[in-house]
Amino acid sequence: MHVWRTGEGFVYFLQSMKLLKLLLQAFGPFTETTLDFASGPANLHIIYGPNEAGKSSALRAMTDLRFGIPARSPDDFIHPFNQLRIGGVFMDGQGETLGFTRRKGRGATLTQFNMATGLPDPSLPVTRELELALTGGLDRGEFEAMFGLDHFRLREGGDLLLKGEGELGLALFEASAGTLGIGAILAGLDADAKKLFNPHGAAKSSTINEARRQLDEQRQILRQAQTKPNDWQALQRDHESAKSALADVDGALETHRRRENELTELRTVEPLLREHDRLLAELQDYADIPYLPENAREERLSAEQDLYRIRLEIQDASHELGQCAEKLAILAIEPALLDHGEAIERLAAGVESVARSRLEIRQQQVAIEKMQGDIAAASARIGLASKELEPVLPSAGERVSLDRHLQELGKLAERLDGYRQRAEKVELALRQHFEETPVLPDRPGYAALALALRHAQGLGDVARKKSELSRQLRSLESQMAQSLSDLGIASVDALRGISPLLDNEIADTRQRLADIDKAIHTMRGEESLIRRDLGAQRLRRRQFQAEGEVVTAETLRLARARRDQHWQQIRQAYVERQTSIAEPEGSLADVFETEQTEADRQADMLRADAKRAAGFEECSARIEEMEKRQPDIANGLLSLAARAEAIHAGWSQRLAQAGLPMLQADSLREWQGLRLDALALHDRLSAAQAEFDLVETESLSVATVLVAALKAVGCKPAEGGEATGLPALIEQAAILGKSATEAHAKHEERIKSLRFQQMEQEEVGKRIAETETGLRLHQDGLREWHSRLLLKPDSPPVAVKARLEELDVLERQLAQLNDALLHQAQRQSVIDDHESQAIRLAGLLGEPTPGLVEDFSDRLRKRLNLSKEQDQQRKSLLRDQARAAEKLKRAQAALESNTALLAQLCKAAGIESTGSLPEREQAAAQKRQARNDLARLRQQLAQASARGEQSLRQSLAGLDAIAVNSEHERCKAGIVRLEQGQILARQKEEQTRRALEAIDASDNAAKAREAMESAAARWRVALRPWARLRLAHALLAEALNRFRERAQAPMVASASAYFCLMTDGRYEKLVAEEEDGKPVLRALRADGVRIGINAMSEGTADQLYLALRLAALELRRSSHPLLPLVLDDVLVTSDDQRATNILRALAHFAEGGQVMLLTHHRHLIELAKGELDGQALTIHYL
Amino acid sequence: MRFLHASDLHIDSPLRGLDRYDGAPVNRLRTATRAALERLVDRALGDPVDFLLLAGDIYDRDWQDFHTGLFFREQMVRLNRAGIRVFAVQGNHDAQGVISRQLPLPDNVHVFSSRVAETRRIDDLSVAIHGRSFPNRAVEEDLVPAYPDPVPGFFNIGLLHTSLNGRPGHDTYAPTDLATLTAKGYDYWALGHVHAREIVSEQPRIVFSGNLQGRHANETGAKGCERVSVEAGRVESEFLPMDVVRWSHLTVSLDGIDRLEAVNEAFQSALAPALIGSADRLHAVRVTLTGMTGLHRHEAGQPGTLAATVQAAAQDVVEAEIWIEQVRIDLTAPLDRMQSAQRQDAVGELTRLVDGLVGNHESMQGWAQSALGDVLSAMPTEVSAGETPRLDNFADLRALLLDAEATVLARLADG
Repeated sequence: MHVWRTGEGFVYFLQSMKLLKLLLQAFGPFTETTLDFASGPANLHIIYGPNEAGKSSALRAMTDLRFGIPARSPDDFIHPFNQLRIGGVFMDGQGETLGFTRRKGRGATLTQFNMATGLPDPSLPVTRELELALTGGLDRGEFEAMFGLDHFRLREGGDLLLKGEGELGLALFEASAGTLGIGAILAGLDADAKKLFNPHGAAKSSTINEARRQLDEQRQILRQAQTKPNDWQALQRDHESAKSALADVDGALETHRRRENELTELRTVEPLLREHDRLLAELQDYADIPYLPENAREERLSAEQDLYRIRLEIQDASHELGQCAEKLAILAIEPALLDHGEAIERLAAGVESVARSRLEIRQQQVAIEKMQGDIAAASARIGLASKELEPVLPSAGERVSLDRHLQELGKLAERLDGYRQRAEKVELALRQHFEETPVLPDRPGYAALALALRHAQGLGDVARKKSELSRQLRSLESQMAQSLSDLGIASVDALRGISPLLDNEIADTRQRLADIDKAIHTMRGEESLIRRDLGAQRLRRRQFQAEGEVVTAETLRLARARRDQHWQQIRQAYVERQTSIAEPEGSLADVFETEQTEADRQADMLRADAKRAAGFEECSARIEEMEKRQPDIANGLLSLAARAEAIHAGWSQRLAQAGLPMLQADSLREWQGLRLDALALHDRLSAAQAEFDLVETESLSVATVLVAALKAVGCKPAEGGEATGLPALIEQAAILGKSATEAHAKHEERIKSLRFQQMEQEEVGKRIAETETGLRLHQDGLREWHSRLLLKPDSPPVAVKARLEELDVLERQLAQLNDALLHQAQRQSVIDDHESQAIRLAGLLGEPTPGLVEDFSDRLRKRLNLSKEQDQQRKSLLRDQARAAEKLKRAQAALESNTALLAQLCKAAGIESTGSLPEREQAAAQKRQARNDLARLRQQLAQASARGEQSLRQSLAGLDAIAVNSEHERCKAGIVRLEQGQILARQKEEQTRRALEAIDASDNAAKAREAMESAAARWRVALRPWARLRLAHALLAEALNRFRERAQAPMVASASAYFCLMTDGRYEKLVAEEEDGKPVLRALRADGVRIGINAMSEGTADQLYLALRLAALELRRSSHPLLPLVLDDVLVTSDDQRATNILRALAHFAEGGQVMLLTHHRHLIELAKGELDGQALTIHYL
Repeated sequence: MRFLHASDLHIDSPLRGLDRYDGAPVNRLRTATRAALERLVDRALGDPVDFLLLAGDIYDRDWQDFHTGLFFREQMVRLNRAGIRVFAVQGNHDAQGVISRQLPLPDNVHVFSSRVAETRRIDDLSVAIHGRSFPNRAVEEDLVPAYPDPVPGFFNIGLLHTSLNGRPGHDTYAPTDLATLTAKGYDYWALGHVHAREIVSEQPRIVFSGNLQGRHANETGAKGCERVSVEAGRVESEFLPMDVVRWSHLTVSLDGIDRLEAVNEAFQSALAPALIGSADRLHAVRVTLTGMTGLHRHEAGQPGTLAATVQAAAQDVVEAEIWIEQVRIDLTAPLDRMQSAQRQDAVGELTRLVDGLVGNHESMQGWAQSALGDVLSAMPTEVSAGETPRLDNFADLRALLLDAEATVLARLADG
């Protein structure tokens, strides 16, 4: 019974609870079924059930009874889920029996029943203590992991042992926790932690790393986006100042510009006012001259020029009128010809056509005669007169049908020829096939040969392999001999007989010696330092002393003590009157005075040179200290040398015990490493030898089979015998096989070709018959036309075609003859029409009837052309005559008008004759110019200044043009300067304004701050899970070490026993060794060889895993009550021997608690019965 | 006559603790304190009021970005265009603050003097507003006695930033008490500083309007301003929510829930009541999972699983947008550690190791320090300002170690 106290202060008595009966009342396929585990004394129960017997349900029932039926149970396929019931009868630590029933549901589903009645009894409550006893304080997962084992888990466990290569801590921990892959769990924890934070990198995938990056990035953004209030104020101040400066410059510029405008105005108006005064005076001089129109002079000149021109025009017109009258009088014109001009033109135009017609009629007549001759000859050849051609010629429809018959007949005849040629070729080929009948090789014999050949080839290149193996063997043997020689050992057996020291033992010795060496080295170093330092300090002290008397605090203290002592003596002698005071040499007072002086002197010296005193003191103190330390160091060195000697002695003794050579620790470690290498080399040598033997045996066997197969197909095997001639045999068999295969392939090909040609022959025959039928049909159609086309009855299609062509030619010739006759008649009618027109025209003109029409026409046309030409001349002369008369009339009128205009001009100028007009016009023009200039000047003044004349004259008072100009220049220079200043001030204002306006109400900084908060939140959120995972990793690693340290010895011992049982003594025990600084598990074979787990087979690794699990559970028994070990088909892949051994081990384990082994392999029962007696085993059948 | 009373705007102070995990409705959250002030001004303009009272802490003390001030000015200009006056006092956060000092405010805003309590009369409304700004950050004396006497015939309002006679979570500033306030004879006291809305007294009406926008998980519930109507001497006051993000705490019991899928349903059921009437807002929720459940082992094996499940469940909520601020695990493990420590197997070894470590804080701290390095101590202030696990805190470290043990056990069981 086990007792513990919970955090709430309750005390539980956890006791063992042995399952006596499993009551499968309504569960899975079971109804009121009982498995009685108390029917015998044994604790090992084999529960047998064939497939579908409910083995898995029974297994689940054992777990569900203790931990409850899960919400999603697969065992409600017969009994409804709310009626599922499992019961169990248990025996507690006091031997008392208790009955429990478990139902499916929520809350309290476990009840106790009365053992006497078998009915639920409310007076028997299920206490926490009882529940704990049932579950062993585990949850379902833990229970299944630790106490449940099936084949797959066993295999996985074995695999992990192989992969972990025997790392002891992992193996023990995994076996104890019932878990798999501690290494993977550690790596998983580490990897998961790194997803949250990776201390060595800026990995974006790690949450905290990424958050840190974001935080920094946003901090940077914040820094850039933020504007401090003081910065803003500085910007605002800058802007205000720039604004004010700009306003000042603007004001000054405005004043300058105003003055500059005024000066410009004055400078402009000053000469204008001067000119104004001059023009007024000039106008006064022309007061008597009238204003004449501005164009008076031009008008006068124009009128005078016009008068001269008009007089010339009157003369020209009169001369032209005279010339026209003379030309008209000499013209001669025929009016009758002009009246019939168009008829005469038409007649003349037809002359050429009439001549051409006469020529054509004569040419046409010759051609007509030739055509008529050809037609007569052709008709005679065919045998019909030309008038009979119509009934012989086929119509258009008939012609189409006839052409089709002819066309089809040609094609079908050609096709028939082709088919007949193919039929002949096929016939010939078939005859050749039947004449050739090849002989085929024996098929079964060659099949056996091929099989033997495959086996032989499967061995690969045997000769090369053997040669390589042989070379490898020689090399390994040589290496082995070298290794043994290096180690100084005679044989491998002797090497195996040596038991090496553990690495930690070597390391410990080495460490101890190294520690001593280190200590000696340290002490010697110190000793050397002291020696050097002591010399230096002594030299320093001597230097102090050489510089003069050294007064220190100590000497001063001593001097004062002496003084005080003498003072005391004086007091005693002179004040207290003690007589016992011995009088020193000299009087007490003198001595005291001397001492007093000395003390004061020393005090003064000490004050004067305190630094030297301090140095001297320090020097003395260090010398003293070092002198004290030197003997300690000497003693320490002696002690260390003694310790080193003892360790060396112990080491030699240990080496002698172990049979090892006398070597130093490092050399021994190396020697042991060489020893392991040698053993490994020996293993490799054995393996290589075994492989060589195997190759040898296999090659012999294969060669024998191959020789037999060659003989069976009647072939003599190649020279060289079975053993050495395998490659030749393989080659011979391969060639034979290949030729047989090719022969069979060719035969197959020939048969296929024959079959194809026969099919083709049938096909061609069918085509020939079809073509001949078509041919006959069209020949019948053509036969009807022979008589109509005046052909013999059996004329071939070619003759029909020729006749049709002859008829076509004849038809075309007749048509051409008709066309020629028609054309001749048309030309004659043209000639006749022309002659009748000439006769009619001669009548109209009163001319005699013409003899030759063409000559008459030509003469008439010449006369007509002459009359037309003279009529044109007459019309032109009449138009010229009218134009000259009109011109004369216009000139006379203009003469009068100009004369009147000149008279008017004289009157306006106030003179009598036109001779004085130019002078008067000159004076009037000058007066007008002066007046206009005055008006323009006034206008310019008005434009130059808005001010009145009076105001301007006032402004100019006292100023001359030079003074105005000078001031104006000064003003302009000032403006230029101010404008430059204005540009700068404006730029400054704009710059400062923009800087100020750039700061708006944006929230960029706030957003960056928010993003920082968010990144910080992410960081914070990740911290706890990260720390949790890291601590979990550290906890697991630490627990692993601690568990190994604590459980290593008992677990390895216990597992050793089980493993020995399971391997039937092949492995004597398990041992823990150190390899590369790590503890590993090895198995000691019966022959003394230590096998690492990585060298074990899978089956042995599985056994080792099972042994470790049993050992872990055995260890657990010491603290916890028993729960049954439930094994589900764990022996499924074990052979009978291995299964027997494991059963034996399980029986041993069952001595300390129940073991339930479920299986569906019946032969296991027989094995178990054969191996174990009835006391150790109970068998249950489902 | 109508006016709004708001306080503790803390413009541009960030919302704390919101990790932007995948699926978090990030787009809804943009400078929430600004959005809340915009809502306040929208409300003042949309349903016009005569004036607005701001009872201190317009800015956050540590925040010195002038853009914030310009934003506040923009909002005040909006009110100015509508002729709405604003009366404000400065509190401990913005007293003598650089932003307050430098920012030129439009004419409609009056900030009360920090040297002496003064009165502003609005004659057309017969309203007198009395107030005084904090002269510096720490004001330890009671300012109320120096407030002017009420103006007879006027509706008298006192504008004051105070911790009253002490409020949890708030530093003591300008302390005073109900009797002093009542004795002053004012009709309405518009108080600021305390971030949780509180009606201190009905007659006279003394109100803490609370802040406009909650900024972290300890400022839960609706946040906004008071709208006060005075008709014929009768005062009617109404709370108007202005917050953009609403913070809440939610406890979800996972008793009897053993599947992750069922967590979604449990979360949604627990959340539904909190969403009634506030579905248009973004909710920042701190979830605490309680109860005894097998999911404890799930979470132990893969820390963060339950948080991710709750975050996913939040995305399934269609009625409103939910941001899971934090998921706190307060689940009870079925494991009996005392019993486990008695076992002689690997699990027992682990339990005893943990027991041994937690028995001595110093050795536990040293051991944890070697496993964790300085990650928990070397953090930027933004991170360490919040709740982080601390090695020098015994309870914290013990809890971490027990969590780590649970993780190991869960992974062993899964292996």
